[in-house]
Amino acid sequence: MTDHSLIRRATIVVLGIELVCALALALTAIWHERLARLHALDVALKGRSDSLIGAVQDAEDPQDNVTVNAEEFSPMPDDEYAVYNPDGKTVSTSQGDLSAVALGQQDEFRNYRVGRRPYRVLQQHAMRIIDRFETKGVGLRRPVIVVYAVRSDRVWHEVMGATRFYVFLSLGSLSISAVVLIVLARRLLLPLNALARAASSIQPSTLQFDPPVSAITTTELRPLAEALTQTTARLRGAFESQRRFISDGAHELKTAVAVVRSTIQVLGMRTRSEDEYRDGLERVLNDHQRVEDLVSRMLTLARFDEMTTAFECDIDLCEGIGEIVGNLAAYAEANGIRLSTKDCSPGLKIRMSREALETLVSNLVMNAVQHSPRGSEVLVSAQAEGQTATLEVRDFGEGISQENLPRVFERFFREDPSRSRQTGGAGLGLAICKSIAEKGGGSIEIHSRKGSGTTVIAGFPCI
Amino acid sequence: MRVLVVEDELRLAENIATALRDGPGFAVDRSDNGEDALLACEAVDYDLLILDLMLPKIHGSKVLQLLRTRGCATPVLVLTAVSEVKSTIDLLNLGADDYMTKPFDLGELVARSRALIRRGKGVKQPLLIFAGLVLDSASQIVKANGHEIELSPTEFRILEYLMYHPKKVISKRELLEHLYDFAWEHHSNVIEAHVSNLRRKLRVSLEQTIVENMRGRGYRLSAQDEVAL
Repeated sequence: MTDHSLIRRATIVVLGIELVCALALALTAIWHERLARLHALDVALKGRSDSLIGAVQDAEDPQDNVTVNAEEFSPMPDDEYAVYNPDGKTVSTSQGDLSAVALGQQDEFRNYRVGRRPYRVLQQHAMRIIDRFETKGVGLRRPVIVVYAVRSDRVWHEVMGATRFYVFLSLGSLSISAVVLIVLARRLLLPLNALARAASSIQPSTLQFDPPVSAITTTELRPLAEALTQTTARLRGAFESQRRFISDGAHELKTAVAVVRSTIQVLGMRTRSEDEYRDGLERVLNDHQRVEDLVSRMLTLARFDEMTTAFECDIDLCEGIGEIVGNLAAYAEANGIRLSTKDCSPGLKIRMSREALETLVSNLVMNAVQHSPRGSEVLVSAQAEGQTATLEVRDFGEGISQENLPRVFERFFREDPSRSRQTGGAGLGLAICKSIAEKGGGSIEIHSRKGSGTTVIAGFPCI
Repeated sequence: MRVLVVEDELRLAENIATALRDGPGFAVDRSDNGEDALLACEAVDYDLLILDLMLPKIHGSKVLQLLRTRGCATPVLVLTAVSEVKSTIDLLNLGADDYMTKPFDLGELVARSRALIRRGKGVKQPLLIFAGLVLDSASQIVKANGHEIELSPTEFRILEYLMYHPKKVISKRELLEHLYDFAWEHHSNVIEAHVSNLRRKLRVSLEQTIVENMRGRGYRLSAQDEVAL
């Protein structure tokens, strides 16, 4: 894993684009400038060539030969020229290397290179008219070809000189925008840093997150700030319910232990008869049994709560129910209840461990049995409803009042406050069932009417 | 002395009640939820309230708060499962007089109950003294001029209640209310019989009548010289 800096990336991208633009600008300027300079060079070349022609025309020669009037024409240094007669014979030339001004095929501007020196060359025809007194003013016409060459490498120096300003300007603006970009990015990230600081200061004890105002008022950061706020709120809720479970559990456990202790102390308050001691020991044992039950139920609940993954094994719902209900038959009979399964569609498979299904079904059945009058019936059924397998446990007992119905899945909730009643239990049975149902990817609901019975329905996805 | 035990754990409430009855001989009523506890407190002037916190219907701390805002000054001993400092502070600020953390020692509960009742009556020392009569609540011994007097448990409780309120007229009704719990059949002639036995025993030992019978109004504990005035 390598670190990626968004700022570095953005800076590089922006500066790269700016550099490309600056380069394009500089190249365009150079190209344009070069065209202009070349044009100017051509104009100058034409001018000098014309003045050479002028010097040729003005040259007075007693023999009427074509010559160059040296007084009228002084070539620029490094310029080369040649004047030819129509036969191609050289009439007059400059002093230097004449290869650049060799006679070409036609009149034109052309480029020529001598060694490392480039030349711009103009060849043109001209007419030397010699007015002679003897011919009564009719001139003698002597055609000539003038080839003139100027060094064109200076044009590049001039182009560079002219465009250097633009190039430096581009580079300057490039560096300024780089600095501005870095400073701006730092400044823009201030709300993000503030948000990060606020997030890192979330305390596990309070799980309270107050996003900084700068983050909330920044459009791009608001979703992150809101997500953090909501996540901490969810975590707070989860921790709060965990904390409540621990505190309620501690209260239940300490109370149960207090019962055992106080029973022993009451027994030891004075000397008693053998029978009284025997009864007392019986009571201690009963009280102790309740501590054991409570501990085992809390551990069961904690185990299912702690399961991070769903169940990995499948179970045939009908087979499982048949077996579990068979095991509970004796218990139901002892309480005078007819326990039976009905409407069991075979082949319904759900994702759950055998142990979890047993805990679920036996909790529901035992609840139903405990809240049913002797002689009544408890029905267990399993059916498929579309893609859902439903497990239903129904009794015709005392029912649950409407005000308590929403709370029956709460931990340690008992409808009957006097816990010592046989039916009371620890108030964890349905909470355990709910935890199992949720871990099995399903849900659980309860319907009840005071006086006519209760139905608990757990639904699981079929596989 | 009459005590209300508010505890939803039936077995624990039973054991506390047994200990308070068998030990100091208090009359004990029980209540397993906050709502009933408030009603009971309105009906009877208890000498002590033993209050669990995790109660159905109305939470223990709410019960305490309601009682105090209604002006009830009965000493309250809170039973709690939490031993956090903060919740302890909250409890004491709400008006609890003492608290015990579960699981607790019954002997300690009884001793603290006695101390709370004594303090509730404005008495600081554990011995009640009146006109040569010394009553020790803890050991349940009464001495008149240094000699121990044999009293029945009910006689002792009547004398104890009178000695907590010396020189004050105590009606039969008040005596009944503080000496017997709801389970008891209220018969004022039972009190009369016990009081007359007590008067007789004290007269023999002290050679003066200190339990005065205010006809139609009740009883008053007073010394001989003051009666003469």
